Amino acid sequence: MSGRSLVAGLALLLAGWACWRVLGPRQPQRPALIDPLMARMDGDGDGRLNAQEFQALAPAATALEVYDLDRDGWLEDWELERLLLRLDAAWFACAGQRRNPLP
Amino acid sequence: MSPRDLLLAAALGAGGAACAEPAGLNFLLISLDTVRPDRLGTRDAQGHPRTPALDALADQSLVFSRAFAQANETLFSHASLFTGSYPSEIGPLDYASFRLPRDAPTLAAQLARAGYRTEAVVAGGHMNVAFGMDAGFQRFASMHDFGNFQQTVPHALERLALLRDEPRPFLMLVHGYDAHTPYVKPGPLLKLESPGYQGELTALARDPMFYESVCDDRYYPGFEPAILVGPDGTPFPSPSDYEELRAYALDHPEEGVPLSSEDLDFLRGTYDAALSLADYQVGVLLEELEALDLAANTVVLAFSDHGEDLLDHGFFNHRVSLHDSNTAVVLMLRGPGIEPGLSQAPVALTDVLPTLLELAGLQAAAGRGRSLLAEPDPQRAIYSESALGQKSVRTADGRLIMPRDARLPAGPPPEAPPLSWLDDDQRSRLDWGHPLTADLWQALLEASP
Repeated sequence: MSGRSLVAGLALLLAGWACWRVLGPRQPQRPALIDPLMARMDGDGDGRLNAQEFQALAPAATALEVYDLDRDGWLEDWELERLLLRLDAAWFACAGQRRNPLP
Repeated sequence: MSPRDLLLAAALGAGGAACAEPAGLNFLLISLDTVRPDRLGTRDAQGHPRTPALDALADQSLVFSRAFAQANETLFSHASLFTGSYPSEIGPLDYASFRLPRDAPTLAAQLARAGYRTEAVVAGGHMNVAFGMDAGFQRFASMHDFGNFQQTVPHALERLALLRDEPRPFLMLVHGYDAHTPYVKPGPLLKLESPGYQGELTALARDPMFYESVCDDRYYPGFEPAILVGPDGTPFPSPSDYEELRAYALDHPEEGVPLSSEDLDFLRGTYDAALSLADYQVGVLLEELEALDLAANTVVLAFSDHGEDLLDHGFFNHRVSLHDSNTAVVLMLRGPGIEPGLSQAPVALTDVLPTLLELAGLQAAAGRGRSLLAEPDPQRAIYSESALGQKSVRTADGRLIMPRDARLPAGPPPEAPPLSWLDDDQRSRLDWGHPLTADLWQALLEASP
């Protein structure tokens, strides 16, 4: 495979991933589990978190944009579900968490 | 036929407890590391349930409200549960040498021998092959060092989907350190219990060593815990650090940074928030069990290996004492033929092995445990021990804790009352001459290995 083909392939993958982020399914897979948690976090009861609600709960350095997959300015139930289900190795790294040596 | 026999007959589809062939029930063990049972079934300030999935599981389960661990640390407690033995019967409670032997007759080993597929998906830390914790498991996956169910549940779901198609029954252990220090978790869950908190602990509390420097309501940033090295080269703080921290606090009062009530509420709140995260993942696991059509034929046993002092006795940890805050554990059992309900008789984590073997239709060798399906024994005394050399017994009425280096002479209690041996709430209402303390003394004598 030539270098150009490789770059084109990667670009296609990237484009596909970007499309999926924007156009992917926006319904939670497990509403019965995510709804009670969202209800606890959602101060105004509209079923989603705005930036102010999010920031009242999250570390100051963590921006809503990190989890706002469709970039609409809200953290919705399906985005909260994604946050909880994915392996968030990046968060553990950026949180500066040292290796936990405690039993 | 006794109610117990009826229960087993229903569960096994057979007429007795012991038979040669496995009964075909699967076992899903959910290990909720560091979870205090008194934090389940609670509600937050707005009245929302903190643990809806575990509460629903409890509604469907036989719940043991007086369940106690035989040790207050992950390694020793799990080893005890796996073998049905007291930890000190496996080896000295010392991280440098403690190891579950490869050929130990663990629950997993006995089930594997009977034809079960045995797998574990654990969150690392001391659930580690270096300590022999994989003994009997045909597959032992460690997902993240001191990780959470967020790391282990997705892999467990993949494995369950594969195990569904296996012709043989399975034992699956899924483990997570969600409620372990550091309690802080990703994203907007950090301040789930204390929205708007702006104190310095939002950053400090991410460091596990921070918790090792809190004594009472002060933080001692200058305190350096002694670090030991385990058999795999893993560094860890010495269990005696808490005594040294208390001495340090007395020697360096000027260094103590006071923690405000808001700080302490935040810290305790992060524990509850972490528990909510665990609850969510347990919900995912149980939903998937249903979706895979496995629930009807799977016994689910949810347990914690120890509790957690949330400054109950001066520290944020579980290693420092054998009080109920550190040794009372979650224990609930759901499965075909198991009548949901509440059992208030004292039970032990060593009871898990004989219970599950019985449900599998296998005969358990004599051990420290007794089946959770047996007639409850309200008079039972449950033994626990610690790496700090403490020993304790807990009955339905109270607890006696023998400090490290104390001797346990045979015969009746000494005349001079070591009131410090009584658990806090008893100390206020009992003296050494009370019959309960004599009963506890006798129970400790009888239970000590």
